[in-house]
Amino acid sequence: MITPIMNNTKSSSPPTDKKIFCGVCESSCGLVATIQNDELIKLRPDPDHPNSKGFACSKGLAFGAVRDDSDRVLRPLKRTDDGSFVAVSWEQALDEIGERLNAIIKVHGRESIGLYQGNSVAWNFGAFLNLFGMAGALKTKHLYSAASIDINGYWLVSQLLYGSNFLNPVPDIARTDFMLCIGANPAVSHGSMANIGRFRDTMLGVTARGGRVVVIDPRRSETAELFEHLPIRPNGDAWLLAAMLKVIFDEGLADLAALQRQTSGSGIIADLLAPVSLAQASDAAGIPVAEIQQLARDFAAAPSACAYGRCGMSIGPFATLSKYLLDVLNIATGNLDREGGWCFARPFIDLEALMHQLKSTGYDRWRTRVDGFPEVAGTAPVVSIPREITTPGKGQLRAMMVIGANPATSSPAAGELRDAFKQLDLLISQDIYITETSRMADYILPPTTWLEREGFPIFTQSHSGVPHAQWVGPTLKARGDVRDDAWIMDEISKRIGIVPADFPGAQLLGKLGLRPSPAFLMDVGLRTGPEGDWFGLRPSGLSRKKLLGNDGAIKLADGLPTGILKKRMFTKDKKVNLDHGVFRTEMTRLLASSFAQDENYPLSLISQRELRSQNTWLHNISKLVVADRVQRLRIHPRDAARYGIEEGDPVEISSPYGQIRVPEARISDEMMPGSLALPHGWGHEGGWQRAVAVGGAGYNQLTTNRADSADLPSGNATVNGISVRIRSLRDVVEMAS
Amino acid sequence: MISERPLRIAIVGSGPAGMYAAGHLLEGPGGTFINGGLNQIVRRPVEVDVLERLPTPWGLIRSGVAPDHPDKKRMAAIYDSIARRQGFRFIGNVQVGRDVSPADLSQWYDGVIYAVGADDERRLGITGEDLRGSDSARAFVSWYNGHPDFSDLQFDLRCERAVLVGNGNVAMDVARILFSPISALHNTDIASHALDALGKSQLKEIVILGRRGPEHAAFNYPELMELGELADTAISVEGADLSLTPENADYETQLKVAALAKLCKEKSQGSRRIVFRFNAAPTAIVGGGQVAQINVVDRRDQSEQVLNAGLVLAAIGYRGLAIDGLPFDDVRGVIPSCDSRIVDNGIAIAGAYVTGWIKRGPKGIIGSNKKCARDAVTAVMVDVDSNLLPMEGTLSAAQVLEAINARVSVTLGFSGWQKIDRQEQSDGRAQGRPRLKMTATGAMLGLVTAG
Amino acid sequence: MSYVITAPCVADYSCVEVCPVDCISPMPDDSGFDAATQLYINPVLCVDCDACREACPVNAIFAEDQLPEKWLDYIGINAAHFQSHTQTVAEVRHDK
Ligand SMILES: Cc1cc2nc3c(=O)[nH]c(=O)nc-3n(C[C@H](O)[C@H](O)[C@H](O)COP(=O)(O)OP(=O)(O)OC[C@H]3O[C@@H](n4cnc5c(N)ncnc54)[C@H](O)[C@@H]3O)c2cc1C
Ligand code: SF4
Ligand code: SF4
Ligand code: SF4
Repeated sequence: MITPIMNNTKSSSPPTDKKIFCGVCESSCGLVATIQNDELIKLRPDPDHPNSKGFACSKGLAFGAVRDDSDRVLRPLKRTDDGSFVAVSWEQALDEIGERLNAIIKVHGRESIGLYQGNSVAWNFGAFLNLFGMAGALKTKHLYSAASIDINGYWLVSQLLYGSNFLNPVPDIARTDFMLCIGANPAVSHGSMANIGRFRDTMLGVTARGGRVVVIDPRRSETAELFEHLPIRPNGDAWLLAAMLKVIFDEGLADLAALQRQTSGSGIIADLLAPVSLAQASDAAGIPVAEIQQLARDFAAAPSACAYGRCGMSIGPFATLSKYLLDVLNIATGNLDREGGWCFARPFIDLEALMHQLKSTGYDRWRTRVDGFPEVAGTAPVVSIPREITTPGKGQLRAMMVIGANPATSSPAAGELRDAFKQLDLLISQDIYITETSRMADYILPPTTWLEREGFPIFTQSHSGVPHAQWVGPTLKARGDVRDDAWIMDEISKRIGIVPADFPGAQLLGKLGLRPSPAFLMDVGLRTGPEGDWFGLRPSGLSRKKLLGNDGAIKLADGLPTGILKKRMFTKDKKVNLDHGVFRTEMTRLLASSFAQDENYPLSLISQRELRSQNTWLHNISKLVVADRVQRLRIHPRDAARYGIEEGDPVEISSPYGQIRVPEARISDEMMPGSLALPHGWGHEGGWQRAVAVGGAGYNQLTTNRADSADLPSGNATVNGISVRIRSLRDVVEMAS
Repeated sequence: MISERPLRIAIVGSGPAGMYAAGHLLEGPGGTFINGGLNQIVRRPVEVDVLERLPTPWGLIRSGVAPDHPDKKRMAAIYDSIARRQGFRFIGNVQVGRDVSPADLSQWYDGVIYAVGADDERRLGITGEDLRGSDSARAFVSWYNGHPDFSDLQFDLRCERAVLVGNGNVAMDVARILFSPISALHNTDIASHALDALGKSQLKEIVILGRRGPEHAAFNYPELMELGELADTAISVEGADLSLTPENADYETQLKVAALAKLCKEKSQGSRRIVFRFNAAPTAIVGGGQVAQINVVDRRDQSEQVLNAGLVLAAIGYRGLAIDGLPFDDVRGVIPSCDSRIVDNGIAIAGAYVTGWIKRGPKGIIGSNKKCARDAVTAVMVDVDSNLLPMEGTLSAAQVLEAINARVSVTLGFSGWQKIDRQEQSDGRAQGRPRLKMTATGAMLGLVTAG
Repeated sequence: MSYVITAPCVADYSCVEVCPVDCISPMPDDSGFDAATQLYINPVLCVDCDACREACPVNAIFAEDQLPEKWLDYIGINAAHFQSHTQTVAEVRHDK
């Protein structure tokens, strides 16, 4: 029966509850941690959290097992000549790293040092600030982010349209009449670039109110199952959006008054749409013209509507253009900044303004050394890393610090990245496990998990459907001898004579021995911001101290604010700036692109998120890998028959760039014919034994990092809609056994 | 001492119990759910041979579970997945006790887990039981599911009334299949000989006899409710007053009885009828060669009644079948065991284990066997750690296959079964059916050996 | 809301293995397990995470708002299981 698991062995203190939030995905759900004697007894959803309202998923609730994982790295590890690791003290590790970095800097300059930011940094404000700070202080152009395998197009479009990379509108699903959901599967992912609590339920609310939700996806995803589904060919999104806009403008359905009022440069729209043909778009998207027309008319006619898009359209070859057209669709139908539309959130710390002030935001202020990619928010794209390592010359990448990331699996052409990493003079990994990436590192510096450090949802608070504020201290003591990422980075910075901060005067302060902590900086940002207490001038306002003392999240409003466009814009004219050459170039590129499938690689592969998985994370947790968890390739029955695949067959997938063996095929008409779906982030190596035992194959052996294959304006990798061919390995495997 | 080589275990029977045992022995990285949490119970490499007397695996999933329950048949996917794990081997068409003996197995393997299910049935023990038209529900179920041992049976359904003795879930399955529209059954994997016979059915009434009152009815709620979904079929109750269910009955009982009362009310009309007759025991089956009637006594007042019937099926329980060379509890119809270890006169036989229906009797549903198998595997692992397994002289995988093939002319591996499986599915597709079952062992083996 | 187990359940407890809040009963080592005709979800404790639905090999589990019409009664059936085990749940919703 359901008896709470009580720790009876230690009789001392009674269990206490503490309200925290989850740092696994962009839902940032409120949780209640029950703690006794510094042991985590259990994690449960926080029913009082304003946004997540009692929801949490099995990943977040299992996170105690990550914290307590016996495979976790608990003290700094140094790689020996034979490739094995030995434990060393922090002192030794940091000193040696400092020495080696200084030696590299001496020969190659500070600009030869690289930093790589993983997804997890989005819940780690200290690491986030120090990363940007270190890169700024080093004046290196080698700041890489997993965002460039994910979402770079978003950053770019926001910078150009709204004046800040980080100012991203979110769909007001709670009040909309029509939600268009493109290439997103919130029923499984729980949302991204939109921190909507109880995402699935909020979407169901739309249809319950009599509204509509239309899901655009090559796969009848878990979300599509719940709503109307319109299958689309992988990477057909830009075409669909362009065609919808074409219909809207041709049929006079656009809200010209809104365009006039809210934007400048809207003349570009007509120019962009002029050469678009519905027939061609229909071919490319695999959606009949009549259905595109109907969808466009319905979207435009809805009293309020929001088009929301994610991975399906943000990791393809036209990611930037897709995101641009998505925003234009929202704007041109009068849905920007209005109830039920495409709204700006109300973060409790105005990160957008902060980053703007720190001049951390921008686009194309410089170009990358080898590939000439424009910078996005001060970062260079991941696709370039191998070439930046192997191409000699000034600014050649010689040393890399990888923070909370596993690019050896998650980056495109992962094999090439691994080879390139071997050529670095120094590779440092801050990771809780020995992963495919960290096992290659010269030093593994083990950080705390989010249960063991102070935090606030720095990233997701900027996208919250229900504005709220929460800042929590460490829930549990750090295990073993692990340290906060921010501390580690600061210690390394000290040893190479920098302050990991990029504000004016920071380095000078550093010389005086003053190193403002990330918490201090963020607190200043909070207290001087729109929700702040202005250092006492506004007693009802917020401060770090106040929030730390508050158990749970504080609700700031019932829903997304509207009518705040002018206040939020960072553009000079306080309007949405629609006209930029890059979008014209991109439209020309789209129209000239071929969407015919290569006959040698006749199928199109898309990646898939699964309920109990988060990219490459969490595969070492029993609860998340038990119950018939196998990496499976989903394929439509028609394609299965054509290529001789039987249910359960091991399958070989080949792309022009590589080949993998997937353990099992799953034949299902959830797939659109011609497309395949494969969960990514599998095929582990290293010290996380369970993750390794789970098996599977790395999706990114099939992808490419070729510069011309990326989304050109943002450098975002194309990891969706990969052209592949397949064959069954049934007989091969049988012969072997 | 713990040697380097993998532990070699034979599992006899590829039904749910056997396959779960294989699954637990070839433990997945997520571990095994035991005592409220996930734990690793197997700490060394294991090789498993699953020996099955038929060419087809999955036991009652294939030959018991009703064809119109495709969701439950999907359990096969779980077993498929287990079969793909490293260390698994299927050896079909080997009957333990006939082709190879338990003594052979205990020599060849480190340990043997018997999961042979319940291959026999309980008998009514009344006169006329052997007349044509009288059989066990087990035979009928196996027949409509295409079990090769039962494919030659003939059931003549050109009569007005069938009587089912016993009112458990098997009786519900049988009643439902008897009254399901042929068009619906066409979309299932029911054996085509059964489809033909059911197409000729003239049955108008099915009487389901229960020895005791409705509060003791053996059927479960979902199976009862499915009868309510049959079109044009009236449901009624005789021999009991449903309003008299004891107040203190448990929730499930109350739910069932209330549901039955509701069905009777809502389904009072129909050209066909299902009658639940309670407090009724059969005393004799009568007829000249072919069943003509069944005599029933009302156990409340001992009054006798004669029901005309052309078909009588006894659905009073499956029963285990003894295996030559192993002890057998003839009263309970199981292999006697203690904590999954087979015992002979109270003494455990080293390295011999039992799980599933042959251990617990024909009780519990598919998943009950998962826990049961887990416990058997736990016992194996405890005995390995205590050096209680007879590990001397164990044969290698290749040697075992050689030894078996010396005794059985044709065996098949998992790929052989997959060949049958694919053939059945493609034959089915050709007829617009999910699967067309092969029902003769010879034909199946022919297909497999055809190269 | 809550999740609900319906008729096809075969009690293979895959759902129990993945449920993050242990709200599915009976568990394999509970006394009622061997005789269970299906498992049940405690509607008060369920956090709607969907993990069990995904793990169920026979599609027996549904979010309450997605229950097929013919199985609406399983909302009450699941809840009632815990009502008769009053030591675990004081109050069971009846929001059918
Ligand atoms: C008609 C019917 C319907 C059912 N419907 C359901 C349902 O809907 N849902 C549910 O959960 N449960 C259902 N059950 C229960 C479920 O099928 C059983 O719990 C389960 O099959 C028992 O598993 P087992 O492995 O012990 O036996 P079995 O499934 O009988 O497997 C035993 C296997 O051993 C093989 N074998 C036997 N003797 C030998 C030998 N000497 N050598 C080699 N191999 C041998 C057999 O061929 C068989 O493959 C149903 C049962 C029946 C009878
Ligand atoms: S949905 Fe995301 S944030 Fe919420 S509990 Fe799950 S992993 Fe954590
Ligand atoms: S996973 Fe499905 S079949 Fe198995 S016990 Fe849970 S509900 Fe029942
Ligand atoms: S939805 Fe989640 S919490 Fe609810 S029963 Fe299923 S696994 Fe448990």
